[in-house]
Amino acid sequence: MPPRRYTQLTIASMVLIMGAIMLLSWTWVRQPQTGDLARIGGYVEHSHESQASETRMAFDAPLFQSLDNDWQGDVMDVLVLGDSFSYTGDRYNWVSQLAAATGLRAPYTQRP
Amino acid sequence: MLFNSYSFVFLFLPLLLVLAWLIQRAGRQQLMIPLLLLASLGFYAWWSLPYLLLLVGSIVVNYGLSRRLQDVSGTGRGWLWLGIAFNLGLLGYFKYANFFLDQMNQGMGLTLDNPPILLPLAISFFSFQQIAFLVDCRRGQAVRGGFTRYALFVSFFPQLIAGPIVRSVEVMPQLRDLARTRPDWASCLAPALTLFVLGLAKKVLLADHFALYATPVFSAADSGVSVTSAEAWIGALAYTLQLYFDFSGYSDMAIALAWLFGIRLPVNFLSPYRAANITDFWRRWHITLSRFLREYLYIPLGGNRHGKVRQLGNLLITMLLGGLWHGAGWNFILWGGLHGLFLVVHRLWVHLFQGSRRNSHPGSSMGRILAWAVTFVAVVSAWVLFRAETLDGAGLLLGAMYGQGGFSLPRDYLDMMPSLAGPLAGIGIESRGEQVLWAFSKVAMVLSLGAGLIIVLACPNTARLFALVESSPTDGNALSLAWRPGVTWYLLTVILFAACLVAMTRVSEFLYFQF
Repeated sequence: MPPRRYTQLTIASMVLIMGAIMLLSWTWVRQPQTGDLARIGGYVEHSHESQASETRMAFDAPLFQSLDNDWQGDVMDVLVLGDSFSYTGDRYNWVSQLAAATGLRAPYTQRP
Repeated sequence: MLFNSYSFVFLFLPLLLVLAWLIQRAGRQQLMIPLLLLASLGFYAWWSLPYLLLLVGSIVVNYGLSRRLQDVSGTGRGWLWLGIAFNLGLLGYFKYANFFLDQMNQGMGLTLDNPPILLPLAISFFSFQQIAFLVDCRRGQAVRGGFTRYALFVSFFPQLIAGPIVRSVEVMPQLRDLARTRPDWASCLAPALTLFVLGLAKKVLLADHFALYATPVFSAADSGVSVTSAEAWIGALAYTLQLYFDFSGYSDMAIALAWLFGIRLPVNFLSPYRAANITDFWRRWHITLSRFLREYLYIPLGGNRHGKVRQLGNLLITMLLGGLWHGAGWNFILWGGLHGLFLVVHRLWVHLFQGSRRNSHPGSSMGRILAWAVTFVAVVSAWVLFRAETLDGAGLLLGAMYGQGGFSLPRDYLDMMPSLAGPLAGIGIESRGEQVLWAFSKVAMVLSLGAGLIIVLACPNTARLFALVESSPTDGNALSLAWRPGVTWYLLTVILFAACLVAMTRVSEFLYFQF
């Protein structure tokens, strides 16, 4: 292949790849990357579209208990297994929101 | 700004190339130096605007001192020492003040105030480069130019952050030519782009992958968690590969970026892990730093001119200071001292057993393999000191590697080969559950470490592939694979480029940025 042709082809292909990546990234960042699932992906929420503070329901105390230490009830509606987002210290987490929204009793455990 | 960041690949580099192309198209070649200088300063300012002033100040002071050395040629010893003191003073304050104050507080029971000082990016590199320039001025070996050209020589963005450490004789004439004549873009763009992509792939696809195995092992050891002997070896080996791919990848990108503008930088790596003795290793690893230490420290100390004992002492001092250059910490000092010791042992070996045939390899194939294995194990072991953040962590890992607590293989490996369990137990190798690396696929780990070793030990290096160094009679394999404009290299370039862009979602710093 003549060097000039090789150079043109390589540069054109690289520009094409960069364009495709930018297009895909743009489509992707159009989706809001917020909340706990963004944490799983290791993405910084602030780097993406939504830079406003996330609206989260806060509770004075978690509306669920740890099965490991302080479960008092004998009936459970939902059992959350090994979910690190549900640890009892977080008064924002989704299990409290679930309990508040549905009235279901949802203890969690991280026991293997 | 990092070479492996989207801002560099998508914005900085394309914009700079387009501007350079426009300048050349307009026939205003003399604008290339100001353009590259502004781009380089902007590249540095992206990291820290206030510290850009430090870089510029350092350039102004050193340029002024070099002019004084020029004006008083032959009698400028005082100006030279002033320049060396200025550069070492900056380096000492920003890089070592915290460390030495810490040591004084701990060792002497003092309570001196020791606020943390942010280490300016690249200070080790631009300080050394300017010291070398002043010494070359004094020796009459420097190639000088106007202030703009000197400022670009120091701050040229491809080599500013982590080298290669260049001498004026290598770069200044090229910068002079760049301001006068158009570079032959047709001949340098394509190989330079390919070399850049290969360097990027080394960093993004290989180094960052091996970090997955190295980081948890070293983190565990630094936290005081004991690891098995197999994990310790896997961690040390993974870091050995990570560091090579990281730093040689960075150097490849630096050489390629300069090449895009028609500037050729010296190579920094020549397959160092193939070295069959430690002296040879240092001729292949971070070559421009080794050259600096040899020409501006070891030889001025006396080199080998004052007898064998003095020579060995000079070697030890040079390597200890080389270790200290890498970082303000006992780990780096011990690492440098250990390599100094290795060099001393090798010199003594050569002196005692090989007479005056310096660095010659042992004659037989078995001897060569044995020499390589000893060298490689020594280098891998020393990297533990280099990587560990605490001396206790390094001690724990080295202890595990060399049998403190017994040798063991992960239980999963022996489960795959149950017939080996008995014989291995007979020679003291037991089966143990892993402490740290249990979550990784054993097959993937072995295959990737094996592939990494094959690349560093058996594949031609980029310097040979791109004819960056003179070919040697042993380059048959490299020459047949050498870069040439064709379908194979085109496909390799674009596929690796696409893979790197996808894998770059998590930007990780180059290891040598911290130095």
